[in-house]
Amino acid sequence: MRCRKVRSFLSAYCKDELNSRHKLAVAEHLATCASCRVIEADYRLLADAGGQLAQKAVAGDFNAKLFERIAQERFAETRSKAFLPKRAPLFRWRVVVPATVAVMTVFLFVFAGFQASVMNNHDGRMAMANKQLDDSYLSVQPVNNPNMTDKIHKEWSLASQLARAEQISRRTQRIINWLGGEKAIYPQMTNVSTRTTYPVPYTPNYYKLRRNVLIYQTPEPRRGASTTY
Amino acid sequence: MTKVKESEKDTDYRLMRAVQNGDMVAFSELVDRYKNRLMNVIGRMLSSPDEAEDIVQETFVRVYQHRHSFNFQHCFSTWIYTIGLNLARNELRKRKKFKHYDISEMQGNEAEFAVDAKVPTRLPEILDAAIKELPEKYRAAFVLRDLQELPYEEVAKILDIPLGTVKSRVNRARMMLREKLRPRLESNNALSKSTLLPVSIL
Repeated sequence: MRCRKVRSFLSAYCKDELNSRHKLAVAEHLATCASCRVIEADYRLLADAGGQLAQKAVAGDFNAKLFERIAQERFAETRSKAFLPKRAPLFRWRVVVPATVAVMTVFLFVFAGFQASVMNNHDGRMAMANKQLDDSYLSVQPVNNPNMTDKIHKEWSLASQLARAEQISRRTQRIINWLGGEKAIYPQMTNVSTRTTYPVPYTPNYYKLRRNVLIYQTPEPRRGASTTY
Repeated sequence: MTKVKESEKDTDYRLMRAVQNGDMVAFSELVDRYKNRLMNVIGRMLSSPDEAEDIVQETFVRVYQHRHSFNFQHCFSTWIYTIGLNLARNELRKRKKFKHYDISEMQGNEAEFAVDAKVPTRLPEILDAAIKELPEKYRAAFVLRDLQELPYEEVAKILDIPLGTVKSRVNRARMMLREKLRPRLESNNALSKSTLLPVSIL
């Protein structure tokens, strides 16, 4: 072992901190090297001097001062416990944790059930998707539908619509005549021949029914009125 | 040796359990066991003995305040040394921020002060002064290992550094001390060779 390496081990060697292999190597080197022995002697002196260093001790009244301070700490601790109300906990774990677990459990069951139903209905849904589209609803009319009631059937029949229109038309004409005729009521319309002169009373029923009548039956032109459509 | 250490550890644990149960006599016993050991370490980390004593007191107050957070899986000595050294380091850090002046130096009595100043002549005293001049990290490792004779593993735990780093720091501190004291050591060596006097007399 060389001097440089040995000198890095010397302080540990003097404190007996080396393993047996290194200790033996250093001892062999020291037996032959005078300069390393000088350094070894220095370290031994240092170690001895370290052992003889004056032990520092606290002052005599250290304990008294310390326990006075501790007493103050204890007093403050007691006062804070006695006088300050305990802060309410932000989370009441005994409530929050079971509630969360319960919610999670319910959610888990619901979700698992939903998943199971989806999985079970998967084949059925695929069959529905593959089935040919049923367009029968397009051809089923209220009139032809045997499931409809008689009332609905009657109301939606063309004959009843026409009868109703005729009835309203008659009543309207009767009112117009009672008021003094068409000219008294609609002077502008009767004078302008290019526009429709067909009397249009302002009743919602009229519009509704008239439209149906126009679709299915062209009304006959009345006497004395121009027929422009 | 191991048996003695083990029993010390058990005594610490027993006392600490009693302290946790509110036994102030046990706390007093703990204080008596550790106050001088702490003073030896912290007194060498800080220059002023009064400040060191304050830090030791603060250490025990912290131990009392946090008595319930002590982990019985670790050594009590490691815990208390760690608290003390952390407080000492905080104090040293504060000193870097604020410059401290001794009020006696501001009186203008330099001559009187110089006469009263005691120049160390014995080797242990010179060593004590040299230790205070070591950089902080080497000083802490050296004091804990060589003066308190704690095992390297415990020093590593106290300083929260790897074991290899502790060994290298201690070795480096010894080398620095030897360099600082080389003239005195050489003369001592020569003197001891000629007179065969013990070191304590030198």
